[in-house]
Amino acid sequence: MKNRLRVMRAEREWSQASLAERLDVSRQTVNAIETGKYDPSLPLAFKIARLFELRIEEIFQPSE
Amino acid sequence: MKERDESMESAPRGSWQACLRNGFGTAADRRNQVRFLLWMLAWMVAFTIAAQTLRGNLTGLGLEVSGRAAWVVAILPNVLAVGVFLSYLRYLRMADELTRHIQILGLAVGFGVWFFLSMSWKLLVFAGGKPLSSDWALLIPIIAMAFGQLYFSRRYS
Repeated sequence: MKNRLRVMRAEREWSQASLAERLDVSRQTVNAIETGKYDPSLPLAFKIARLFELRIEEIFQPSE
Repeated sequence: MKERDESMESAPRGSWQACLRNGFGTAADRRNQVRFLLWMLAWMVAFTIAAQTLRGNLTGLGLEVSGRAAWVVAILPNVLAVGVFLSYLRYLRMADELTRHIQILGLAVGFGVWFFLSMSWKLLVFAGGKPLSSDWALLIPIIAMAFGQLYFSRRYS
């Protein structure tokens, strides 16, 4: 799964720690999602979408 | 004001450095880990005292048991073991999702090592080898679980 999380976070000038705090997850989780090593659960994907006021598919796209 | 972005630091992805830099879980996870470790410590102390008492190594301290009392001493550490088990379940249930994922993968490694070790050792015993002591049969899967958790922590860093 590809995602735009790192770009969206950078646009808001948030650190990984800050985003992790807003999502109530660890910084390791944010880092693993950004680097594509870990796909978030559906509840976390919804939480991310809500935080950035976007739809899930605007953030996450399936890999080709 | 721009927040400091730790992701831009120099530690290469998947390295031990990155693994330690990213930390393990949230503050709530760390609290639950401490709770689990305290239960574990209490159980280990109770287990050691019970084992030494039952072996008769603490008679000098007036701790000498036999008959039904010995059974009670043997069972008592299990009360604390229930606390260890419940605190680990609580930690796992409430953990940050990646932390839980890593813990479960570590448990799977521990279980896999225990299963293959016990089965293959059984065949070695049939072939004339010595049986594996219960101490090693317990210790090896725990070590494998710890290594599994470290390995997957590194992989997701």
